[in-house]
Amino acid sequence: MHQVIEMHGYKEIMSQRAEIMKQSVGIDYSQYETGVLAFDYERLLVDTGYDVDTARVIQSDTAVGNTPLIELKNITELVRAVAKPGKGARIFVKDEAANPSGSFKDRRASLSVHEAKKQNYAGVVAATSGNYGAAVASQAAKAGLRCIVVQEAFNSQGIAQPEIAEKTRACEAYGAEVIRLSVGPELFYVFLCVLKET
Amino acid sequence: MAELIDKGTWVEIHTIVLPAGERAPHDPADTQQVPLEMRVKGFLVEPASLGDEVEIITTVGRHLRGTLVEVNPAYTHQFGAPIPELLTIGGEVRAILRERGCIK
Repeated sequence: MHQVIEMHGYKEIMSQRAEIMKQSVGIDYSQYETGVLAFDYERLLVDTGYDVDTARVIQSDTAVGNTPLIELKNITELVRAVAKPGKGARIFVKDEAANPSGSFKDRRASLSVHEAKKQNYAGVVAATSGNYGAAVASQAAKAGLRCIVVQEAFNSQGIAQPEIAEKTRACEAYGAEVIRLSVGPELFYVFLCVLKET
Repeated sequence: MAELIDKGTWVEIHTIVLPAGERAPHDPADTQQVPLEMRVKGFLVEPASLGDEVEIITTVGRHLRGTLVEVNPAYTHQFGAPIPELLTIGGEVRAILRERGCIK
């Protein structure tokens, strides 16, 4: 893979948006748009062959999911201190930080990377400044796929938000190439440029 | 002459992706006035000095070009000062739990 990143004009790339996505993932997302805002996610899952049981098997393969359910006894007691009599349910949290990369984002990243591996992709690309990047990078590392994460990372003074700086570190520790951008909605534009090149 | 950085060194490069004035048309006016910048890390392909136009190889094997801005860039951030308004909450909460006999 020998390439020099090539940026195209913003309008040129954005006008090719649907086509680049279709070529990259093989899914025409427009067919699931059912109105101005609505998106038929359930039909997408049926068409791609991932029902709940299948997802569970794939996730457990990389130690994703099956996270502990923890009762927050003090919080329950505090809620009962202010709740009306007979109210104030016991409060539990699902500790999603117990997932391999530290968040629930491992759940969908494990499915995406599984599909990428199944389809013999050389790697995966994600446009995300948060936990999803760490999740994709972690899953790609486990699957032996290459990973590029595009982040909206710093302001025009070059200062990064601490949470995002931490995700940069996590993604790079998992072996991903991290493209850090200054803030702006053009994150998706750069993501499309990377898809087009790779 | 500036100190030469060895080939193969882990470095960061910087480039302008979209110059000011060529950004997304729907960006706010103050965003339009600054460029969209990019920073990526990788291994330096040829010896170079800070500020030079260089090529790097990223961890996934891509060759990228940009201005050499940092050698072995550190991961840094800080957590900021404690928030005074939050400091007393623990005591208040413990007082409620004590009143309800949950803690001593």
